[in-house]
Amino acid sequence: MDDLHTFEGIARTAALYYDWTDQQTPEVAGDGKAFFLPDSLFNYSLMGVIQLGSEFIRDDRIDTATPEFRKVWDYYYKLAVLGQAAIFDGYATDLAKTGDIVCSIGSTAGVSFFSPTVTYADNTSEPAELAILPYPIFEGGKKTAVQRGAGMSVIKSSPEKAQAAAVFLKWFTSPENNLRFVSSTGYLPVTEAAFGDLMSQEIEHTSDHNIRKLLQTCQLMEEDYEFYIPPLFEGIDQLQIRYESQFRDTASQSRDSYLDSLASSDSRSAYEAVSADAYQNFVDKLAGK
Amino acid sequence: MNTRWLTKDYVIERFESSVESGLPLGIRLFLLLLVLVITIMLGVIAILIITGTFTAGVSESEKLVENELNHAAAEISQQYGELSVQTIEFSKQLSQNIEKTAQQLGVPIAKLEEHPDRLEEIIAAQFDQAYFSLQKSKSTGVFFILDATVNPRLNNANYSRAGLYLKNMEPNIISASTPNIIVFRGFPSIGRINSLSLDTQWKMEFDVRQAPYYHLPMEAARLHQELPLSRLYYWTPATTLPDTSDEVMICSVPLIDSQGNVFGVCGFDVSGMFFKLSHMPHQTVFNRLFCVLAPQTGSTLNLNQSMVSGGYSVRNIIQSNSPLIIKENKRSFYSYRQSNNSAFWGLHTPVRLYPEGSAFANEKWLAAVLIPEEDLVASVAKLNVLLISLLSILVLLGIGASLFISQRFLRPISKGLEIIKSDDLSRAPLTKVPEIDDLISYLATHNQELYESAREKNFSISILDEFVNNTDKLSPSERSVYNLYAQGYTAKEIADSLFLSINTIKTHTKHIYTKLNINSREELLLYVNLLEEISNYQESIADGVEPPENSSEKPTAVDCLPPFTQ
Repeated sequence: MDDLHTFEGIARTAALYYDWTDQQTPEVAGDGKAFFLPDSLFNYSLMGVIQLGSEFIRDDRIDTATPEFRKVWDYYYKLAVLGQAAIFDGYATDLAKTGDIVCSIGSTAGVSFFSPTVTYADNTSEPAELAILPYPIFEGGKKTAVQRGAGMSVIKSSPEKAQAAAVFLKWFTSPENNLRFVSSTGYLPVTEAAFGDLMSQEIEHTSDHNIRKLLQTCQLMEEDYEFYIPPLFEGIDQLQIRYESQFRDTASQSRDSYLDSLASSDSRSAYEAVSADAYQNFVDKLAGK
Repeated sequence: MNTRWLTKDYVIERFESSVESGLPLGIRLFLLLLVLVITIMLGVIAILIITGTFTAGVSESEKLVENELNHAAAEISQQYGELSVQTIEFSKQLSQNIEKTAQQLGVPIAKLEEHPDRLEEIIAAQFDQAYFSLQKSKSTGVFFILDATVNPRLNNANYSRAGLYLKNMEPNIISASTPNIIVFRGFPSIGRINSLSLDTQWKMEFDVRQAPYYHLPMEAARLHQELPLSRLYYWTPATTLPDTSDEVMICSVPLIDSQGNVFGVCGFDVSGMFFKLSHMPHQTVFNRLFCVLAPQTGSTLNLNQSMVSGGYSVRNIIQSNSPLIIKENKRSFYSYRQSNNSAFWGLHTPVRLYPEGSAFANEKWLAAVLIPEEDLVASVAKLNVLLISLLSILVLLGIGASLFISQRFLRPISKGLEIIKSDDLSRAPLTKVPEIDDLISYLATHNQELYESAREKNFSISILDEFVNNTDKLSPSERSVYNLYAQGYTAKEIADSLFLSINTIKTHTKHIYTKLNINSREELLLYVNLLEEISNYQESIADGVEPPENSSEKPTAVDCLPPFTQ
């Protein structure tokens, strides 16, 4: 489990898991299973670059020219092409429900979407236990995690309604009430006070084991990690969708080519062949060239 | 404003004064007006009672509830009717498609359970039809269940059934370009191929242990083979599917192949949240007004099998698992009472979910619009308190107006009385009340006449007084002569009587005339006669004898002078 605190450790584990699952069916070669999936490739890339000390977004654009970005990009791309990380346009919890992955990087709010059982393709199922660890870091990088999520807005209306909305938000974000929301949804608290004794009490009293694990991990991260709030600018949502879609498409196409190449070459050669121009093609495509 | 009349002392003073001398005119007038005001108010209250104004709140509420009920019942009938029709159409097409797919795969429909390896393919082939049927319908989910399981070797094989259940998470968004549809039951590959997420409570197959939506239509179809699909669809009462938290009503109909083999069911669902969003009653008057679609058993409503929409949380009532007993009232609302005394008022109407001849025609459903009893009572009481407050204000205004009017009315009368009491009525100002001014004018004229008369009388009496007073000036000799004159003697007779010369008498006479301010013996006798008459009159008054009729003038104060007798 200690390996899972770093991306490099996750990669090592993913390779081992792939090999182990591949060996479960000796009669079928290359049918190892993916180990993990980062829920949002945008958030993964953003935090990887930040952890490594560079900037992911400059002048409202993704800076693909830094070595830190290349390192982060290569990390997922390689695991995905090799089949050790999943390529999936959806939440990792979907794949976890069916045992198609066993590890994911995602939002705290995703905790309530994990099923207590894993159901396999033949409709057999088994109970699953969830372990929640702090956000992984690249070795040598800063302990930083992204802070993004759902917010609340007040629609312009009468002064009375604006006042009422403000009163509600003050009530809602007070540490006691905020923790009730946190422990039923998995969202992070919005005040530092809520991370302290109140959260410890909630950890002690909550009957939801997954929430207990989540809050314990959140307390650890609140002490050791810096939370990074990415810049907000017009079009960031579209940029995120485009980035993730193209990253997935690139990885998926390379994965297909890689599987095809395996028939005629070994794994290393096949990967080198499919990945040679992949990064530059991705960067050009993202830049609209 | 003079508020002295409000003081306790004033009231006591007036009361004591009233006891002694009767009620003053002002109070009499005020009481009269007060009686008038109270009479009018009693009349108004009687009219309000007769016209039903005090119970108008109930009537208005009943109209409101009736409108809401008509509206809700019409919308529910339309939605459920349309879904029933769509379910039948869906079943017809789906049965054909599944039969066709199975045939292509070489699987006889009647032996689906013998080919579990083909189920994923057969089911996946129906995805498009299910997906578009869901989008076309006003429902929150579409499903079909085949009478087969993907793994007959499992312990749950006898109650686990393969199929597909798609849920629309945002059914209230019309024409959404990217509908939020997820896979609730079914093979995960179907979701992944079609970019649909798995529901949090996703399972691969249906657990049909407690699934009337699965068993009842299939049993009905096998039992009544002559009935068409339109008589075989079934609406489940609101229920929570296993391992889920959402309440749903499910419309299901058998899947029947061309040979008449019943091989599953299909249908749509309406979630509790969607029902709530679709049939929310207007809560302009009653915040906790709510609409219910409930199965009816005799004269009870089963709220724990109902769909509810509105501002009242029935969670507690449902938890008590006690039905609402319907009771008809004579004049207005029905009452709906639970054994633990939770009570509601409202109206209901039957909703026909099934046509005549349906295998489930005996299932009765009601649409009802209800208000918590305390809310209705509070509303009516509020209206009546307002009405009574207004009437009280009117009474107080009437009392104030009575006081004001009585004071204003009495002011010229009081002024007139003051004027009448004054010395000179002729110089009195006008009160501008014609009757009073006429009276003052009359009294002024009459007083003048009285004054003139009195003055005349006083004038003559004053001459007599002067005459009497002047007699005191007479010397004894002159008084002797005067007395004889008064007895009718002549000068010569007086000279003889007194043994004096005629000249001496003449000298006394001259002095007497001068002192008494007269000029002749006749004048002297006139005075003497007048004094005698007055003396006689006074004597008769003292003896209780009426004065002679010809005595036209009444004596005045000067009559008290004693008659001259010396």
